[in-house]
Amino acid sequence: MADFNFSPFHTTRILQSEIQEFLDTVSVAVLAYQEGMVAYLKEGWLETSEEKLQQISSYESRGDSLRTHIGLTLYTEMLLPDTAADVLSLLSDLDHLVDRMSGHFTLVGIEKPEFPDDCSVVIIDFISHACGAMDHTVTASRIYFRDPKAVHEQIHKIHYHEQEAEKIGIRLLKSIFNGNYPLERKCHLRDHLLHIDQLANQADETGDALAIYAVKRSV
Amino acid sequence: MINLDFFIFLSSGLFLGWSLGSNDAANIFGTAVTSRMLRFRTAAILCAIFVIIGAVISGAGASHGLGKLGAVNALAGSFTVALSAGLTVYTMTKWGLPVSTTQAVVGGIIGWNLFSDSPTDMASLSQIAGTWVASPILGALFAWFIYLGLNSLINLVKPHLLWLDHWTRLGLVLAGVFGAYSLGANNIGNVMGVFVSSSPLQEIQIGELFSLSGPQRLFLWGVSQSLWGCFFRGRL
Repeated sequence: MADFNFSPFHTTRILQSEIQEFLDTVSVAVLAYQEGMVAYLKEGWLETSEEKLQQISSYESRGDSLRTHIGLTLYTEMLLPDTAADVLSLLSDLDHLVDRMSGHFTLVGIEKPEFPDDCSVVIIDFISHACGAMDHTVTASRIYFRDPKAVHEQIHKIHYHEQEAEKIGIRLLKSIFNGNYPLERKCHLRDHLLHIDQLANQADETGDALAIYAVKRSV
Repeated sequence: MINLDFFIFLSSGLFLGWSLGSNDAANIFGTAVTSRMLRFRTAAILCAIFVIIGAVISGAGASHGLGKLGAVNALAGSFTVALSAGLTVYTMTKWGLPVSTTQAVVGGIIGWNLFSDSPTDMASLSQIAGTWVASPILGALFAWFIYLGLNSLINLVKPHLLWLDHWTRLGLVLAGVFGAYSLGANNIGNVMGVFVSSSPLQEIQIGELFSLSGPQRLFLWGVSQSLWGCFFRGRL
């Protein structure tokens, strides 16, 4: 019997739901990270933060296994090779975002950085913009699968959040380094702020790559 | 009893069929295979099935059209026409040039008519030449309208990327199948058509329901060589 190399309907349906689940996983990981960081800033490393860390870790492992399975199915059974490479690269970038969030929140739990109380509101705003950039990246990714021409409507929002996060990050660093804290604490806080800034930067880079993938599909 | 001479003369037709397979099969499934949306094996099997169906069911029509061009009613004439067309197609294919088997066969028939001092039906010739002008224009118009229609449909429905991929793959298979059927119906008729009037092959009965007429048996011979060309050259 000939092996017809077009996917049966059920493979397409399963793959579609797996991609949907993967994007949901990244989206809720962003929410959990934001809530966990805000909880830590407000009340320190207590039960809520620990619970959020567990959630983020489980999202990370689920995201990894979904991405691996989606990648295998894409390459063996579906898609024009060029599009498969773009989709896989996009999912890999999003997975990397979850890995970074998980890694950073684990570090927060281990190192318990002492953010100055008077900076809390600004840091929450900083985290909110970094998470906003990531959230819009997930939204843009969802749109890419159905309507590539509409992707750029989300890209400028990612840029906006990334730029705001960068401005706030610089302001925070200046404020911390101008403050009256020991140098080791300043350096410690700087590292954590850079971790958060990196999340926004990576979301922005993923958004840029996504814009190119969308143009390739629209041509 | 069929004379062995017939098969010796038929060899040029089989050679033309082989050239046709190695050249034209690439036009049918080439895009799907080179873009890796279809495996070669899948494409080759589908091609084989539908070329045979096309040749047996509708192959006679094209051969009638060419038959009006001039009377090639001697086996030696059929041999010469098919050999000259086969050499033309083979050479062009070797040079990597897409070539029309119909044009090569028409050229061969006109050459035979000139050699044997037979008349060439100018009305048929102008009708056939007209199709050479009309075919690319019609093809372009069909491509344009189908592209616009599908593009509008995709923009309206906005299917998920995976479903779009799925339907594209299915569309490529259907287009390939349609192309293979047309190859069998049109080109195999052209290839073997010059032998129809001089062929001693008679109708045979297969079981109680099916029978193959002489021309259909002839077309099957052409198809077998055509498929051999397509598989052997491995360049769908």
